[in-house]
Amino acid sequence: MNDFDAIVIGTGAAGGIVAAVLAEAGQRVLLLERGADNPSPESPRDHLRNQRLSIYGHNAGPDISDHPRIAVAPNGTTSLVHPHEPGYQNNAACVGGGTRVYGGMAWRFMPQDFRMATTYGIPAGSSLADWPITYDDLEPFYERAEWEIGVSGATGADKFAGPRKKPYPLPPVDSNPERIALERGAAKLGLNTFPIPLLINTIPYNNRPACGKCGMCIGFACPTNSKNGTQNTMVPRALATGRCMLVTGAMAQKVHTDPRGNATAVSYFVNDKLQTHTAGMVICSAGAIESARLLLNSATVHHPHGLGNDFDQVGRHLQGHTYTGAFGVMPEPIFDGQGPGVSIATTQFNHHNPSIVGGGLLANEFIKLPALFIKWAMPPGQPRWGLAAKQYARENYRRTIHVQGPTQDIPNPEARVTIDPQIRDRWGIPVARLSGTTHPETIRTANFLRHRAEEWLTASGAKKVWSYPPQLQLSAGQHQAGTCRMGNDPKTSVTNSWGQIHGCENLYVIDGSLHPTNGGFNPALTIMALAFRSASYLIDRDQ
Amino acid sequence: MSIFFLTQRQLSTLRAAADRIIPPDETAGAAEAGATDFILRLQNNELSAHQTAYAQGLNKIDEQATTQFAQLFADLAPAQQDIVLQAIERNHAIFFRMLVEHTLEGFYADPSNGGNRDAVSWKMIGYRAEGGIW
Ligand SMILES: Cc1cc2nc3c(=O)[nH]c(=O)nc-3n(C[C@H](O)[C@H](O)[C@H](O)COP(=O)(O)OP(=O)(O)OC[C@H]3O[C@@H](n4cnc5c(N)ncnc54)[C@H](O)[C@@H]3O)c2cc1C
Repeated sequence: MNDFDAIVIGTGAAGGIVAAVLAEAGQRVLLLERGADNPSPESPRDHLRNQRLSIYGHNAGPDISDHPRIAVAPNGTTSLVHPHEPGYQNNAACVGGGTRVYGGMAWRFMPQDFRMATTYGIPAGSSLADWPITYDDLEPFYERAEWEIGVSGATGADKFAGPRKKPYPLPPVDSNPERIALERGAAKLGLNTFPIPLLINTIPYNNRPACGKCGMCIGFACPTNSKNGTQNTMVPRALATGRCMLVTGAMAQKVHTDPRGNATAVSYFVNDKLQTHTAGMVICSAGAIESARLLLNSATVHHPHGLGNDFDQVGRHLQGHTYTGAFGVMPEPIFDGQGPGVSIATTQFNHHNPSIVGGGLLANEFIKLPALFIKWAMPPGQPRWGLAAKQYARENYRRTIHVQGPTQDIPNPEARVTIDPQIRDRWGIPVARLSGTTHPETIRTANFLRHRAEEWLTASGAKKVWSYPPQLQLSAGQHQAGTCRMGNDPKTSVTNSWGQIHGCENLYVIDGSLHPTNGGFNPALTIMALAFRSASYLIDRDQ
Repeated sequence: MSIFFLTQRQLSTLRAAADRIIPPDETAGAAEAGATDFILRLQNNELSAHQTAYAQGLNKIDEQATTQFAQLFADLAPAQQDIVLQAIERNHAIFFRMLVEHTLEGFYADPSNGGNRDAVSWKMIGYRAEGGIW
């Protein structure tokens, strides 16, 4: 008999959900997480060492010295990078994964986002593809994610959104002066705007309190536990069954397979000791970069290029989002200091943009921490030192609006994760090597979007507006996706629409890796919906 | 590693320079807020590799001050100090940019980083002006 019915690797957006659904259906689950249960208890609120601004470190892992990667710059220069450094493309490593410290924007992709190749054709050099499922296939699982994890929002207010059957479980965040100003500008331009759906409790929900409005949502764990991630919803549900064993500080090294490629066991390090457990199935939910790395590092004589990689697809099409937007300075203060701050968006530019492939949402920003304001939000040419610089900050911190959004990435196969032939991590496991850039079409779209953001700010009354041209570079990071894309053709995809590796019975990838395209939206709710959908398939299949 | 990788003279040059980067006016400047303590703390931890660059850069500031005004930087009038720093900005751009960024980080980050005593910069710009629970 196997040690476990299932081993789930990673407790992030997807892994926490899969573990809970399986355990609640009676399966014995081993849930492995390389990070800690409680990240950075000693300095959780450091403005210079967090998952958003990580100049000198961060607060949700992975450990800075144990987990290097190799980054290949667009000009071919190779460098060894640590998790808090530029180029690493970090998300987080702790129970909850990225959901522990995310901002919590809770977007459903639009119906067109599942049909990008059909809608736009395939730009030369890109690997733009349709999903093997539609919005309608995923809709019931978006609903589960919204209700079981907890989303606040204004039902029906986004007139471009796909159809939904149930309202949001929680009312939308309150308005603020910034939103009122942006609503005014949007009305002039004819833009449809609405309060942003958030995985944040606006009223008590699931036995946890309403948001304390501290304004440190993005990059930090929530001090009132009002932000909903898998760490305070699905992982506790999994553990409550008594059938799920969570091991933290557990670094999965390798998935063992039989000659046909079916999973038999997982080896992982805890406290530098190698352990191996057998299981009836294995689910990789380690995030788009680490799930690909794990499959590639699990090569055998029968699968010499790595698991699921007979057609050289694992690790390719790495994508995230090229962020774009604009800053504006208003004549009057619009900052009220109340978190989350992020409160108004438009999806007017996600599709139907003349001669543009895709698009993206535009939204106002979370409360901008002062250190971030100084680093990011100074207008071009503004002196950075001297009395004028100090006076600028004093006068304009409360007047500055930042409107931004994630540009739908146009994927290409050369943006990819491979295994570095030389560099190994603390445990001797070959590290991920990241190379390539996003497709030039992404940059064209991002430029289009930033000009829309500028127009919006100008129409809202900003007296000074500026933005920066987006750069052609690798896009992965916090929104990383696409490295084990799902599809119907084993030659051009890694898994079927359930995350099952083509040709395997019991080896799955369920996380952001599956996304053939990543929408013009933050991806977590879609990752969660897919996890609910795949996990439901796993339990139905086993009955 | 010690906090004494800088001489007394270099320390006073650092404090004086920080106070031109964020000068005192109706609210505290960088030195009073502790931004230089923040920089020293960094040099003893994450940025120990920059100790030499700092010591050399601060010497350059004093060399420039002596060349232009025949006095140590810390002893100059603010307007003269600004002229010296403009020269440093032109001729030692990497060092100067680093000095400016570190000073800004210390001054605008959370008080527990040591460079924003009593949240003086936050009160100045209106972030959590009324204090906060966190
Ligand atoms: C600061 C920040 C803000 C964000 N804001 C938003 C937002 O507002 N809206 C939104 O939709 N998204 C947001 N995101 C992105 C969101 O968090 C991710 O899209 C999501 O968490 C990805 O889910 P996942 O399941 O693919 O991977 P993850 O959540 O990254 O989970 C993977 C887990 O696997 C673990 N793991 C990896 N390798 C191994 C191994 N070998 N052994 C054991 N464990 C391993 C990792 O430690 C991690 O905990 C944000 C992210 C960050 C960091």
